[in-house]
Amino acid sequence: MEEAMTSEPMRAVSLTLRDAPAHESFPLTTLLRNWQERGLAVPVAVVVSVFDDILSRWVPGRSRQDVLADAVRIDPKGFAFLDSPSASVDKLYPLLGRALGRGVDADDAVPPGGRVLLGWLHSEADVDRPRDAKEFRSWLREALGTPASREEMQDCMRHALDPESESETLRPVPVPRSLVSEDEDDAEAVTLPPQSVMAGPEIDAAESTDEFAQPEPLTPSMSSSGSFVRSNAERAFFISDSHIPSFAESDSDRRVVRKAAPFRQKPVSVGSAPAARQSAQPMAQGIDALFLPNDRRSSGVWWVIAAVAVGVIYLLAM
Amino acid sequence: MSGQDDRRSSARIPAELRVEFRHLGRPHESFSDISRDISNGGIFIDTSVGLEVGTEVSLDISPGPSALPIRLQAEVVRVEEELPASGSSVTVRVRGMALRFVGAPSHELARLLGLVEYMVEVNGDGGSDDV
Repeated sequence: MEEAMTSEPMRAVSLTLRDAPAHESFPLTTLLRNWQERGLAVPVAVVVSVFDDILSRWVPGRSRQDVLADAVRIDPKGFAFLDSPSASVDKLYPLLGRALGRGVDADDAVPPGGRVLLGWLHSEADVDRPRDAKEFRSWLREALGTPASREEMQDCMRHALDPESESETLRPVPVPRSLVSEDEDDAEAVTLPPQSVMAGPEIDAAESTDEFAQPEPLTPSMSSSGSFVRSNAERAFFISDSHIPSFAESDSDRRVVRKAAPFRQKPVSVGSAPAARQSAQPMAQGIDALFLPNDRRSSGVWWVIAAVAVGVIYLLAM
Repeated sequence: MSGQDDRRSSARIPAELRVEFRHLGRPHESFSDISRDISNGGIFIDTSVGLEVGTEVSLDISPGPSALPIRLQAEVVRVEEELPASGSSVTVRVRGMALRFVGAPSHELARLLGLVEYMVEVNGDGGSDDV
């Protein structure tokens, strides 16, 4: 194997790293809009996948414009790439917030890990931010979890184009109607569906249908001015003395459903019952009975009986 | 050639690539994680998925948009675990898996190493002051 490797020049092999033609790709805007128009937030793992792809090929540039969703495209295989002049990675922050569901009126569609990350990135305090694309990638993964697979990306795009299509891997989550579109003023009163949280680790695909039908409710922390984001970030500042954010433990609630792998966990066998169960005994036995002074049996009864007996004997003797 | 000799002869290049892997025995289960380093003999993936040593998996790595994925087969040779502070072996947490390429076509390996070189050029370890 190694001989074959060394005998073939690396440079001779084309990597075909060119970007896909625009007409063959899918704009991120469409993905976000189509999901959000149906009251669903794009799964967090999909967002991570998109940004991971972009950042893995990020070339720093001098553009002063924020990167817009229109500039990000996804090829048919699920690989996201940038179709705009290169900029510094901080120009991606607003798009990350939008992709995670950050809206004008409410932030409750953003998962907790995302809130901390966004709060940190947008903080005005003097804190460290990702120095480069590589560091930003690792921050994203730490805060939001692992990226979706290409298959899941394709599923997500298919779901965006055809809402009726059944997805095996995706688990959409309702988001507040207020996040549907940034430029639409929909005055229609809509009952807000509950945000859902996937409790516990990975959910088996077989369970996903039921879970999708009845997501576990989470009381959303509503905020009128985005202060929740900031407050979370500030909390992160104060919790850790360092200038590095500490992200919440895997809280990517909207992540794509994955199938559980056989983890290397040993079965637990307990040979005996816990001590508490082994020592089940009567609470108190007769010998242990404790009488308080006030509880002592009265001896006055005997005096009455004796008096009655003496009286009877006296009457009989008469 | 022993495993140790193999490791000595192939330099590991730190490279964070998205790797999708699936158990050959259960092809419907796929996982997506990031590589820590790559050599021409194998790859280390940072993942919480711990497969048994000896398990054969297929790997898919996308070099870029509109590019055919690099497809390789590999075998789990080591699983890196992290014991919790309590020392309980019941709640062992997997940190990553070392995989050795098995029967990899030379052109696919060449594509992979070419991609790694490209990634090192683009991202580099030296970092950048672009923010």
